[in-house]
Amino acid sequence: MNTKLEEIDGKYFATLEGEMDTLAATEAEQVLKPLYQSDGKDVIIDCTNLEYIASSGLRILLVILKGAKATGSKVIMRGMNDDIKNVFKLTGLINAFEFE
Amino acid sequence: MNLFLYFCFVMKKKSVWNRLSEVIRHNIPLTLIIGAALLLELTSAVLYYSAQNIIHNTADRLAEREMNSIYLRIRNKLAKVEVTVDNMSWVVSDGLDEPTWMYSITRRLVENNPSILGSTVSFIPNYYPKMGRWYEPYAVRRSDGTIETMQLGSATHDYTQMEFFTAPIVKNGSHWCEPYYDKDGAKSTVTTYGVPVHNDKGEIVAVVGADIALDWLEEVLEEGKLHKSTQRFIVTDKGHLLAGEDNAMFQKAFQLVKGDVDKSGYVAVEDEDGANHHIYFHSVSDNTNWILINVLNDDEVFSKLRTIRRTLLLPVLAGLLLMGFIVWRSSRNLERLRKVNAEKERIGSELRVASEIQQSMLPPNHLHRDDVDIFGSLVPAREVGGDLYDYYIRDEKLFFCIGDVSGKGAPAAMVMGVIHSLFRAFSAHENNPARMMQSINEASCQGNDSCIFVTLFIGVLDLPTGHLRYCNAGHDAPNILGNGQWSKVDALPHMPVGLFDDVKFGVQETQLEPDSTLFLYTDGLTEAKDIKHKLFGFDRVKEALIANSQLQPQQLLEAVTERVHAFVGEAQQSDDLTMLAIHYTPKRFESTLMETLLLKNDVHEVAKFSTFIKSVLEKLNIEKSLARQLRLAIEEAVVNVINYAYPAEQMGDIEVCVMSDGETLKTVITDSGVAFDPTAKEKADTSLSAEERQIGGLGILLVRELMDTINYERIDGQNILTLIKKLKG
Repeated sequence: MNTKLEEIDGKYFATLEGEMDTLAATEAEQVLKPLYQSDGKDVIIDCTNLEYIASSGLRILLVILKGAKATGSKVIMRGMNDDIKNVFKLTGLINAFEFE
Repeated sequence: MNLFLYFCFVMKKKSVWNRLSEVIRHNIPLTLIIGAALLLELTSAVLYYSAQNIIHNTADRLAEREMNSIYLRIRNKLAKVEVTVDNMSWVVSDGLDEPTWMYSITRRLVENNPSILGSTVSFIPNYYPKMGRWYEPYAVRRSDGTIETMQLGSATHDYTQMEFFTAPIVKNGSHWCEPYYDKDGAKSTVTTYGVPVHNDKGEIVAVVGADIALDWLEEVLEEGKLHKSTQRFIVTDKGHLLAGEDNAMFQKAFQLVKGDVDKSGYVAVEDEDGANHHIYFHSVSDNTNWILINVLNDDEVFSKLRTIRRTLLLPVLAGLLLMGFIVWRSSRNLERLRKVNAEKERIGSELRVASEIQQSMLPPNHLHRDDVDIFGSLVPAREVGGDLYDYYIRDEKLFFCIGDVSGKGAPAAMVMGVIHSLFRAFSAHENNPARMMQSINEASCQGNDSCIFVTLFIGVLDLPTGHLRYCNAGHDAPNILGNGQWSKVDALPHMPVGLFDDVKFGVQETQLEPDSTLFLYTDGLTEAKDIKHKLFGFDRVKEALIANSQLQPQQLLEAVTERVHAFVGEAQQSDDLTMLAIHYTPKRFESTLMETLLLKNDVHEVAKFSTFIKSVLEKLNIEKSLARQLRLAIEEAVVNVINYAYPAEQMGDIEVCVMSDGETLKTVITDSGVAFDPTAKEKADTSLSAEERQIGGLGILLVRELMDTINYERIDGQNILTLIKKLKG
């Protein structure tokens, strides 16, 4: 799995590629740690090439979202495929995040 | 009459009729009294008026008869005089040559007829020239009885002007004259019957007459009076009262009578006091112009009737009052009865609703799967009962219970409802029957002032393995039927639930063999009574079960029920009758593919797992989306075990076995860690907002959502977690 994080024009851009199983999630977490304190900056997460995500991964996203909401910024998921969207639906997270 | 017509018209109007019938319906007792009173009044009125009529007719007839006898008597007497005088005229005719002869004739007449007061032969003027102008030989009876004769005619007593003389001559026939006071002769009021005397030439030469007094008329009038108040009068048609009292009634009567041509008849009249009188009148004879008048006083005639009516009024009134009182009292009772009945109906209908609610609380009485067949039956003794049974399947485990609340009817039913809820609540996240029992017991002991207790048996059957865990609280232990053998589950009774909150319940375990049947019942079965109060008893239950052990649960229960009904016969059902039969028929999993992976409880092993699961799913040719779901679910389950199965810092093995029989994918994750049941944890609440969401719990949520069933069992110190998903359909 590949995880990238950039900050452009006051917004965070993260990219998740590949399969984020439980182990991969712990590694990805290291990369995404700065997002835990997003300081009011919007976060856009590109999931176009994300094939698979386990609950650990969802947990990370949820923490990011909580932090963002607390500081008034948005978290936008981009290009998520249907299988992963279904996982979001099952866990109720579909209502928590914004999707593009 | 007008009132009656108006009343009829009013009644014709429908609205009045409707209102009237409504009033009647609401006041049945009052209407009854009024109706009875009206009927009574009507009857008595009819009776009264017919009696009145009869009395009237009878009085009339009697009056007539009285009158008849009176005037006949008078007529008789007069007739006698008439005959005598008629005869005397012939004698005088023959003795015309001897004028002094007349004295003896008149004397003889008076002598021989006590009713004749005086007698005269009055000659026309100057008939005997030497006798003078007036010649009237006269005999009279004096009050001492002696007969005096004299010549009465003189200038001062000019009989030729008197009616008794002139009228017969004018008439040329006999004549009774109007009564007059004879001052010269009889010196009393008399009436004279005169008959003309003819000479042989046929010329009238004299009038022979006889006077009669009128006092005897009074006596005749008084005789034979039926009613004291009857008044009688004899009057000439000129108004001269011959007998009777000259009063207002007489005046009135005469006025009415004198105009009548027949001089005979009847007329009703009212006197000045308003009393009714009936006047009967009849002419006395053809020769006189006398009229006999009989006045009957209505009041006297009907006085008796009126008295009766008056005396009856009081008892009738009293009777009506009494009846009214009785009706009033019974209507009060009727009201009370009606209220009681309405109350009973209300309670009855509420119980019916309660019974429906209770029935709906029970699980469907039949559940059929390929690994288990269940049938239950509950027949309460009253509309609602205190027995309960429940079962449901969660995570491939069959949770079931059977219980009996002390008592019957509505109170027991209410407690039954509570126990049922508690069972459901405490088995939702708990697989240990003893812990469930503990919680139920503690909850029931609170606020249980009436010391209602419940015998309860809880069982949890792990359907994949047949492992049965159970806990008994004072209930009859279930029976097991298998291979035609009968046995009883060895269950510690502990104590019924709801008595003491510090009872310690222990769980027991056994293995249920495939194709065996669990039979549970309440004491309504063993204690079913026949008319002689003999009990069905445990032995008969055992007999019934052994005899029908090969039957499916529904047929088995029907057979037992039949036996109970046959035994009980006509006797009323004394207790709720409840039975539950569970037939266990596990199917072997015939796997066409089975792959196993061994892991350590380290999250780094997830990489190994990912490779493994991807290859297995590939081998099975599972479609991509489904494959991702399966991988996710299994990964979450495995990670869960990795994280929690073994105590921290302890290394342990985890085995992941994935198998398929072509239709179903079955994954079994086994570890030897601490007893850890992931199915007991509550799912995450997905309805919470992002801020409210807990971070944990997502894993097990995903496992449950993505898999068809999830089953945990602890066997021989191992945690066994089984995940099943249908691959097709």
